[in-house]
Amino acid sequence: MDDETLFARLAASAPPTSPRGDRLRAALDEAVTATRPARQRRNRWLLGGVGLSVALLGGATAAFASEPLLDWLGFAPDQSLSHTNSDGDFCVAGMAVRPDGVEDDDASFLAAKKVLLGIDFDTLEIPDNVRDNYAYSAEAAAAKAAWIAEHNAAHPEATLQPALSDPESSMLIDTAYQIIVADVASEGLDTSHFTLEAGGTCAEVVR
Amino acid sequence: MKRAEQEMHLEALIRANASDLLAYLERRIDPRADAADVLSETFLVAWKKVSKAPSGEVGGRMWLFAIARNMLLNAHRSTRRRLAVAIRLRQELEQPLVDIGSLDELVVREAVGQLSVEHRELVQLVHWDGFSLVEAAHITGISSSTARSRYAAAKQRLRVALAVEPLDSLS
Repeated sequence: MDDETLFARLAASAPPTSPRGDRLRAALDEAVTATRPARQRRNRWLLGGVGLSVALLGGATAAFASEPLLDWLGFAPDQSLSHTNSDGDFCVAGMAVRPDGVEDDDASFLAAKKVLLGIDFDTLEIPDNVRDNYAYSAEAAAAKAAWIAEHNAAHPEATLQPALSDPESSMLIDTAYQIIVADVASEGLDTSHFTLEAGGTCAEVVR
Repeated sequence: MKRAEQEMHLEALIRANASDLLAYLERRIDPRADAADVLSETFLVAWKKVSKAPSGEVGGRMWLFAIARNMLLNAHRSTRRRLAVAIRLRQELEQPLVDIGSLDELVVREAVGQLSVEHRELVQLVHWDGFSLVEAAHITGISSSTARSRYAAAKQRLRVALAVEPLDSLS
């Protein structure tokens, strides 16, 4: 038997795999997303189409904003915030402190959760070091968009389509994280025992 | 590379290779649906090692397959964990496949299965998964020269075992 025949028979003997239809691709994508670890900067953003009406503009309290978040965040937020961004879109975000490699009764984790619960997002000021952070600059946004475009061009079969985020909400969440870390550290506790998971969404204003 | 860049790089790597990794596991795990759990564990381990992911696409692909292979070996040694993150994928993989293969395909598969573990793994990586012999050597953690000699021996054994015309052509 020549190589060509042997190789053809070997290739044909590969056990079949599930057809890569839409349902399997969606399930695979879900597994990829779900296994990505929660980290402080992992903000999951959706934009529009979540049922938040313009009527909520200006009148939503943090407590009210947490209700729709529960439907899609995938976790019960410890805290939530809401605001209207510079484009006039109403945005809400939820946050939860998670133990990172420790038990639920870990002192650092519990202290971090307590600090988060005590933050008043209605009056929280974003410090300059957060507002001026490169991550929120136009340059960073352009670089990220270029990187994603380059990747998507090279991998049309597995494109990245990150949802747009709301920088103001992200800055508030970063500010909260800084406060949490500073407070936990001031108690002499380990700041590596927790992460802050957050997600948000914005409803576009109908103009 | 900064942490954020490392994470974006790894996510891109995983998304680009997820389907092939799943196929790799599907072909080697019985019941096939358990591939969902091993795949998820592969992703979790990859994220734990995000700082060690090779920067190149090819190197990154080999690295992911090497992790999947280790997870597969562990899965064969121990009871598999059922992961909540893999439930939907598991359900999809539990759908029965229509095509189980021709008689000759089953005969060849049986012959491959009779090879030693080391020989079988190389043959499968090359002919089932489409890797070059050098890539297969990388994934299995052996030198290229060792892979060449093992592959030559495996081919010789297969020639002897399959020294008949493909069964489908006889009918």
